[in-house]
Amino acid sequence: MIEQYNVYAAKLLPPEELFASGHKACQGCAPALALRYLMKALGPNTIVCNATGCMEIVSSAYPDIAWGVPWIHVAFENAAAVASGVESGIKILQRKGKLAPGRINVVAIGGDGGTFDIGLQALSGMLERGHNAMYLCYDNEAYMNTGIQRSSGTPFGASTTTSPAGKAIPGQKTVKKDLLEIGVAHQIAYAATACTSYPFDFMEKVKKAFSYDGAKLIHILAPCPTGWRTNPGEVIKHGRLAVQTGMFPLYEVDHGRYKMSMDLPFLKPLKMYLSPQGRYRHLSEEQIAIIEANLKARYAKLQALCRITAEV
Amino acid sequence: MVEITLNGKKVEARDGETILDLATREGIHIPTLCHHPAVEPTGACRMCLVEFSMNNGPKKITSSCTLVPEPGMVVETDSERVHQNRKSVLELLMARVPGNPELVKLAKESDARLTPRFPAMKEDCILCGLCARVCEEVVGAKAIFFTNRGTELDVGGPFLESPEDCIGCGACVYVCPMDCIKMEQNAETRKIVKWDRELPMRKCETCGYPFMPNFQVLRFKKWADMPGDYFKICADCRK
Repeated sequence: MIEQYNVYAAKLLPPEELFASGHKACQGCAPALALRYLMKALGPNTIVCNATGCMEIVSSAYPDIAWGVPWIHVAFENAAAVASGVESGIKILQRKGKLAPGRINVVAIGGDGGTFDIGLQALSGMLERGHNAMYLCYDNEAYMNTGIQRSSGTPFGASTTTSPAGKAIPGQKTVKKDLLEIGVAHQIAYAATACTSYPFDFMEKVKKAFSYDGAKLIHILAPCPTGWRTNPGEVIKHGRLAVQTGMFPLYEVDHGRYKMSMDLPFLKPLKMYLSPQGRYRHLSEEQIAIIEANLKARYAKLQALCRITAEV
Repeated sequence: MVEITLNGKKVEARDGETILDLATREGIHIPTLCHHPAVEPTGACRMCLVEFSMNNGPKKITSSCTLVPEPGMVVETDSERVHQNRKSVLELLMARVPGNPELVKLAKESDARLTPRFPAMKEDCILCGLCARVCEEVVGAKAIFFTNRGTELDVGGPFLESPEDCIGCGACVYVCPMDCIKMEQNAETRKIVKWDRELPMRKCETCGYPFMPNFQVLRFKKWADMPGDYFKICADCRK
């Protein structure tokens, strides 16, 4: 459904840029794209709580700032906690009549390190308490800002500076943590995965998330050419291949109901996704076959979950 | 730059701005259905009604998306009369399209509801024409437009048949405020259900992935003067 909007829908987006150009991100940075699409979907009536990470560093180097909305930089671990506080504060000020009634979007943003590893406790708290805010995790699959260290969002086999590929280990030894399932386990209103290569899908998901009250979680895959060792001009292609090979399936969980966002006619061979990336350069045919078997099993499990929960 | 009074506050309008743009910029919420910044406003849905007067003259009701600021204009977006008018418009729309989620959401803002005064019609379209305007102004295909007049008015291809100029881009699906234009796609064809337009898909010669309707490729070649083999492979396989 989502690939069909590729031609003209781009002309129908709001022209306002609330995440302005001129920030200090690398060439071909997809997380910056994610934030730009996020702000186009949300509009000016938004408060952003941004955990430390790539996007905080590049967008707010003194004395410049790229944000056109109220924005607060918080420590690595507590973006979700600060968003909870902002949301509660708005609620109380509106109750006392000091702030005009109406919806104000509250968003917490963290990278994969700030979400999967360091901020998981605060995120869990926000989801459990059901604050009317959204958590956006932009996932570039390692701590890119500090020099490509592995996180628990790094997929199996990827070479980083703290999981270097060599004779002893084949890059990252563990599999990627399933963040969305952690979110779904809190029984929140809405959780979804997205990818920067499918902007309309992402924006529709953001709008849908804010049509519900309660906590919501969006996990967006954002390719990082610096850390993935790829050509900066091909990030969109790599994001698309991640989805089309089944490496990062796009789906949403709406009040417990699973739904695939894309009906793929078939899964493309995983080699198309892995071979252009320098971080996977060392993988042998057998290791690729193992990864492919795992992702196919996971894809089949997701499709089964969609079937089962559609009936409930 | 024109200075007007908006809800008792002096504000300056920028060049080319309508009252709706100005109010949105000032943080005042005005409900809309048929408005889209990418196309020219027509004032079809009447949801964005406001009350205005010129130089202390009589107060009139009009749609804010087509109202251009002029010196000495006083605009009210929140008065009792405005809310009454918006409520009537919404009740008429709800009678035409009962149970539409977008209208239900707007109805929560006012206290509009289904009344026996307007019998339910069970249509799915409010005839705002946003799809037709986008098809003409943004896409340039001019495949769909209004047909017939008065109570027979409908939107679709010529003679309400399958539109032969439709390239299946999905822009109408994307903008429709009622979400009544649906698109279905499988590996072989893409179909826009409301217009009854079915287009076979082109498959990439390298990876076999269906990436674009065949007819769209022919039109793009014509419009953009592309080389003949440019669309044989998909964007992912293109170097």
